[in-house]
Amino acid sequence: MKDKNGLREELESLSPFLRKLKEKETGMQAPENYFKELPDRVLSQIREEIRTKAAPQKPGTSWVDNCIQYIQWFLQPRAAVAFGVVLLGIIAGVIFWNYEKTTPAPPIAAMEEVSSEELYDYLESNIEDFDSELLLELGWSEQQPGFFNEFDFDVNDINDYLEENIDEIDHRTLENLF
Amino acid sequence: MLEKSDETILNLLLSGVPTNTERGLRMMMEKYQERLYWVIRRIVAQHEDANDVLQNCFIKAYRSIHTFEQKAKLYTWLYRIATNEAITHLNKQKKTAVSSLDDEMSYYANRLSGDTFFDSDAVQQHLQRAIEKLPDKQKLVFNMRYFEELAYEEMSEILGTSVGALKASFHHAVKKIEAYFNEKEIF
Repeated sequence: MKDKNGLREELESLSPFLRKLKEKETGMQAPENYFKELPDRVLSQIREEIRTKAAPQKPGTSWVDNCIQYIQWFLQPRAAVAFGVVLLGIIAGVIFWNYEKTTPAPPIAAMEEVSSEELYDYLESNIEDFDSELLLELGWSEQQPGFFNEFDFDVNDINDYLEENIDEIDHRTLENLF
Repeated sequence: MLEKSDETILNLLLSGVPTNTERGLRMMMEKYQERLYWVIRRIVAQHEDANDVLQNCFIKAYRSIHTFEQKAKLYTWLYRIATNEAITHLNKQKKTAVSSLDDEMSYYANRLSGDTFFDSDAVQQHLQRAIEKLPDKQKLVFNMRYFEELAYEEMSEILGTSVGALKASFHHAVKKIEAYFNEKEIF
């Protein structure tokens, strides 16, 4: 509802200058055909907005779908090879660990628990079973501490033994000994 | 109280049938676009800004048409959306463009001189600059009364302010504009 007369009177009393100015053009213009084209522009924006909203959304995934996705991922060649390598590593690790646990301690280490007297008695009673070369290799040399040095062999005993068995010791072994 | 054509427009807009909704929206725009454009243009000054605000105004009206209570006129409702959008737009621009008082002065001057769709004599240009410098509420009241020649009762319905407060606001705005012209010695 326009109130032209009321405004004119009001301006006359408030500001005659503005009343006069009101009768002139404001100088503002709108571009040509602007109002003709505007509805189409607005409608195309709204259509675009509706199209974007109506675009199919990715459906929500349940835990079953997630499981299937994981399985499918595992079945991919690259993932399967990687998984296989890791699995083999784990199996090898478990086997090695069990082997370490079940393998008996080395003979020298096990002998630490046996006293020197017991060993001496054993060697004396089973001396025939030992190869003479092996016995000499293990501990004959006085300069080089060896296995037999720990058992306090008497030199006379060894000399007696050698005299008794001199015929059985070959020439080369005797050269090595002296 | 709705006019006959407003009733038709609303029925089409609220029909829920896409083609009818589009027809209703087109009718609404054809009926009110020019009036709303000038309301907005007088607030934001430049055509490009007015164009953006007017398009937003119609899109907002389309989105929230179901909230329109048919007690008021459709134009009143649209007018309120348009002025709110225009003032929001203006405030956003001011925040980014103005950081000091000198900036503010040059900002107002540039707004009009940079608009290719503003071609007027010096006095009209000064009038626009004087209006631009008014506080938002006074600017709105001045534009509604001075350019659109709306009665205070209608303005009161649109702005939700008493007639007395609107008269006082218009009075202050006129005095400030006169002071601006006095300062520039344009009489």
